[in-house]
Amino acid sequence: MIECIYIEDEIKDHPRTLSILDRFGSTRRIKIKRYGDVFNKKSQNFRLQKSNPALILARKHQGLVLDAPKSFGIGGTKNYYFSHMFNCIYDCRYCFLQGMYSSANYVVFVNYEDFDKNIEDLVSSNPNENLTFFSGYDCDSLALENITGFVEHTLPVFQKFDNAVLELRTKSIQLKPLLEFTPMKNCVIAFSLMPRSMSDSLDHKTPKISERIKAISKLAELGWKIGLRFDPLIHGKDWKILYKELFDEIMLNVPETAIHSVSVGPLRFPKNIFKNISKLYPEEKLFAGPLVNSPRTTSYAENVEKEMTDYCLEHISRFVPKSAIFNCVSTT
Amino acid sequence: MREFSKAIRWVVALKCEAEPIIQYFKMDCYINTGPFSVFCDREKEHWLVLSGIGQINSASATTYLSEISDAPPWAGWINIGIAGYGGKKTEDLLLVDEVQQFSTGHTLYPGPVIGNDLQRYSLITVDKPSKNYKQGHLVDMEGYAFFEIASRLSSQQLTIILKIISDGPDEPLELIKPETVTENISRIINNLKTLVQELENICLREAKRLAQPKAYKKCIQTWHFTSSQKTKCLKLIRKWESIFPSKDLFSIISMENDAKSVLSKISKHTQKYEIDWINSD
Repeated sequence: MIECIYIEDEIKDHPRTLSILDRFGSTRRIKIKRYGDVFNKKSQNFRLQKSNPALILARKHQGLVLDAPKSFGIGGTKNYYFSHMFNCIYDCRYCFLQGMYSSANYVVFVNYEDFDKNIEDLVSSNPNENLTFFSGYDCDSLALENITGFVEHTLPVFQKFDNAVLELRTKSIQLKPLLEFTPMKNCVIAFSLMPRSMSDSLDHKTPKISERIKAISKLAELGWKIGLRFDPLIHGKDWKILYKELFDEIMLNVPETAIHSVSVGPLRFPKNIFKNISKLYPEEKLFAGPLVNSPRTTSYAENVEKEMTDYCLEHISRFVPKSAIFNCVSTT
Repeated sequence: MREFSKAIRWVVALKCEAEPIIQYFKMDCYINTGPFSVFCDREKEHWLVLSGIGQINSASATTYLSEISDAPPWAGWINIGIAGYGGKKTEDLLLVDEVQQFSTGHTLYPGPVIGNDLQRYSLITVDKPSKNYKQGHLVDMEGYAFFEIASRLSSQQLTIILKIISDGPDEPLELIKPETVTENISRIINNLKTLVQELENICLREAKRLAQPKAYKKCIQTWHFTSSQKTKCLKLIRKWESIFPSKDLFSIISMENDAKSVLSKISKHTQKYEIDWINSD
């Protein structure tokens, strides 16, 4: 439960700020100049703070919409990502955010209109390209929807585009805005998935895999385009059996026609981020797996990565056309 | 490095503020011949320093206490004392989550993750007693400096500032008696006890994360390790303990002759490890 809300002075009267604050009654409020004054301080303990994060309401001034990493793509010719929020209510042990940020506090950038303008400018200046905009890189796109109203705001923005796709990456089963909206052809609800037993150990505070598959099935039934994101791929005893069981369960519950795209991405971290995460969780079994260091990354050995990726792609291609399968070498 | 155990460090300006805490936590005088008087309990888990008034004293005393008590990086730090307030007086124990240094305007945000049942207040730390009570802010003379230093010695989340309102526009500070201060602190001792227990719990969690494994200490006592071997040894032992939390490491390495063979043995046992996700706890 949020015990304190920090509010940047500049946006204290912003309608979205007031709307969010309305949901919190008499929760302690502190005015600040810039969110970095709280968020970026070095002497914070991410792991302890995760048990009781505060909320920071801020304005994003620059870097609202950024180029996605080169390997990122689900069919678009140009790929971008944007984050209306930093940090996540979930606590997945492989998440790069815990190694990247000093703070586990949630930052919500209330100036959605500025994000919209950036997106609109990019779309109008690239009329002959198929653009994809990824949401959910620095947060979960849906998990805090009841506070942020992000999806409710953003879906109508994308409705007017012919050449832009919005991906909402999530582990959440908070489907309310999607149930109330007419399914859009250019919006992909992309769920992160892994075998149940791995998820039970690693995806702390998230809905169980079975619940996510139920949610996917419901959305598919309504006509939403579904993305399946097997990212990160996790190694372990009987991993092939575990992943096959996962794929079989998905095939049983999700019609092929609803699947927009599938991506796989092996587990890997920028080296400095992995160092931070393993210091936070030295007891974590995941980090005792067959990870190797290369000059810039920590990941499974190349042969392990290849074996896992090839196996998963082979099985996925039995229920999804190859054109809809993407091999993303991401940082999570 | 230390075994992990509770570690609470108190920085208190005045004797009349400290007395109820010293009594409750059964502390005795450890040293009174140094720059600051220091108290600790028999188990050496609770340590308290009398800093005197002012930021320089508070910062110095915090550093001094850290050194003299060999405070571990998982120690919980508490500054508790009286404060002035310009608004409606309460007798409750108050938790500070915003502290500004009056002279510079710099502000720090403690961000406590405990004490959810305590009221949270902002604090202004001044350099000399002031009757200019700012509406909505507590006023003291130590908090900012204490937090600045203590949060570097452990972390923000383990550094707590607590205040009790003593003076205000209608009750000038010079009329406050030491006995009254002692009484006020004694009155909130149960709330303090609850908060300290919460702090001890999170300190212990941090201790488990930060303390060097016993097996590592035993290794470096048994064999000679170079610096780089020590680093590798610590990493391998942590890996061993995450994979085999209840298996005795020394049952497989005790017969080794030197550090190199110890590292090789541990490496051999851990590198082929496959995580059993189905039977994982």
